[in-house]
Amino acid sequence: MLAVQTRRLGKTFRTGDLDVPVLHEVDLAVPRGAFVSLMGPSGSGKSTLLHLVGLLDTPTVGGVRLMGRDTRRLDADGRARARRDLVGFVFQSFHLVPSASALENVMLPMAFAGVSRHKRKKRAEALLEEVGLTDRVKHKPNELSGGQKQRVAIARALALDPPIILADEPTGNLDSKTSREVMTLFSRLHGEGRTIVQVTHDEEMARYGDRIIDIRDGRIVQERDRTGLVRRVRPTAEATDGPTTALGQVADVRLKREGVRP
Amino acid sequence: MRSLWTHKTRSLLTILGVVIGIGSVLAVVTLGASFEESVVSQFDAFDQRSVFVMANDGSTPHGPPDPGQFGLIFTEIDRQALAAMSGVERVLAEGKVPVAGLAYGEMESPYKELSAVDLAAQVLAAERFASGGVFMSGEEEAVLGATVAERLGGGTAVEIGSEIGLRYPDGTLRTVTVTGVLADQEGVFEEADGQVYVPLEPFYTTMRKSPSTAEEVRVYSALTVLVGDPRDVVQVRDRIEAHMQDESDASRLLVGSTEILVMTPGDITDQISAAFAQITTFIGAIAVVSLLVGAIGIANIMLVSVAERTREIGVMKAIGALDRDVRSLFLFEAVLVGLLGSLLGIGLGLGGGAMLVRFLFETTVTLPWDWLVVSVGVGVFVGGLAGYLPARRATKIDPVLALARE
Repeated sequence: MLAVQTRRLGKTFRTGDLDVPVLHEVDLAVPRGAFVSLMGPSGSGKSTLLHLVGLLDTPTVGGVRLMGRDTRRLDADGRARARRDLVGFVFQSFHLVPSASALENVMLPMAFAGVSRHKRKKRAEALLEEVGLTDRVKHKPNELSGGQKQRVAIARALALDPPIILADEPTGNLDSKTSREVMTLFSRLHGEGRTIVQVTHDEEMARYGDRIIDIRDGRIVQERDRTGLVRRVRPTAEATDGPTTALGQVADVRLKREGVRP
Repeated sequence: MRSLWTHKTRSLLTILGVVIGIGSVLAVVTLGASFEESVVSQFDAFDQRSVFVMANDGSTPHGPPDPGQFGLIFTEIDRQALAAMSGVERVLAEGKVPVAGLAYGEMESPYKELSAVDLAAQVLAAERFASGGVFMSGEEEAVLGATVAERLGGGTAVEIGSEIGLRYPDGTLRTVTVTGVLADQEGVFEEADGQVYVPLEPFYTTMRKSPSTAEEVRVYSALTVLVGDPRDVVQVRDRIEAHMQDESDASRLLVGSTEILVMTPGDITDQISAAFAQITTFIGAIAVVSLLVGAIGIANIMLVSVAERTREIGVMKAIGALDRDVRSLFLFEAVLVGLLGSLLGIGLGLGGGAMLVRFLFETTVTLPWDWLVVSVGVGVFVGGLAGYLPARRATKIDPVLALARE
């Protein structure tokens, strides 16, 4: 069974009279238990893809299946419930609630799910122990280092034991040593059978995943395994008219940035 | 709730609108309730079986009936008719006897009029006497109010059994024996302090021609009917009213805008309460305005709070908060602000009101219980009302945009 499956998923933002497409009909399939890294330069649409997969955003076309469940017909509350039950989010800037302690931050999602206060506390303590923060339980986010904050955020993402973890540049604000620690933690969660999808533009961090999906200009251009071996090149509708290789796409992007039409 | 605490000063200023609104209303209401109670409780001094029959010159009297003030229209014929009614135990009459002065020993001082009353007059109830007791009907006797007794005695009250002289306007002197001195009176009987009471018989001689019998009969300024059974008071009052308005001598002796009033002590207190209720309604209207201002204050701050916490709201949505959770978070905060405001306002209002009552009126404080309950309800309602729009706005926040904010 696929943990995440998108079908012709597309997103177009409207700026005034201008339609700005950020994602072109993407077909993404993440098997259960996989650790997938979405790579691409900024503006490539990888974060938008992650938001759509996590049901934070709604697609312009296409749909998302999570754990086999079609999410297209869900209303706002239905999406919030699916998000709550199936997905744990980890963000680049941690997004902890500043006025709440580490423990309270981890307890928060369980409060929304109606877990009793006693159970919330026990589970949050166990999770903080799991991420190695037993001695930081009472600390506020501003009393924690970046790595510690991200570990609190990961514990929070795990609070309701979701099958899927979505991480948006989880090491983007961390130094390389701390980044490796956080990625090691993700690897461990992966080893425990969780499905992880991370967005990154750091090749080293991407290689913690067992599959790397390169995205350019709102399209998946290729999939690699962690050794860098290209397993599949995906031509898309527009790409078939032009260059079909990943290299070609990169060249394409460069030309566009310089304002030259190919 | 935590954010209320983090922004202590702001929260305090926010609830100030509600605090002042509810506080000022409660202060005034406490003042009113205490004042009303002190006025109304005076009427407990009257026998609750009484029905007062009096004349009014067109304006409504909101106080104890003052027999001297109105027209002499209630004839002896009327009195007897009322006394014959079923349910009526007796009818007390009273009137004024004009005099020029009072003499005691060597001293004589000017005095205006005596109060001729039935010996069962309520003011002459046994418990009101400082010494002695009531006179006998038909005897040359008198009862003195506290102040008169003391003034005549030159500092110490005139002794029981001593004789005083009544100087009539035509110069004649009539000697009476003092059978009793009243204690210092308060409330509705306060004016008794300056009165000299004499029995109707033989002192009261004011006559008028009865329209029904064409005879010269005694005429009074007011009658007090005592009903045998307290449960019959209202029925008897209605019968008296009907008789007085249609068939009595008084109805035929009415002149100008004068009208006949038939009231029980309960009617009088009801009138007073109704007057206070009008004032209270007026205050309530002002309160609505001040609470509206308070609500706008809360709404304003909640909107700021929602804007400030946009990112936090985005995070909450990302980690599984439903719209309902976000909405109730802000609604709860707003309601809490309203509740806190109303509780503080109640404390402030009751404290301030009680102090005003003590210093201004020197009466006991009566707590307006119903208003306390209403205040808490209004506080919560105002908070909820003010929180609705901000809470709705919070649910409309797009988590992707909110999370993108740094």
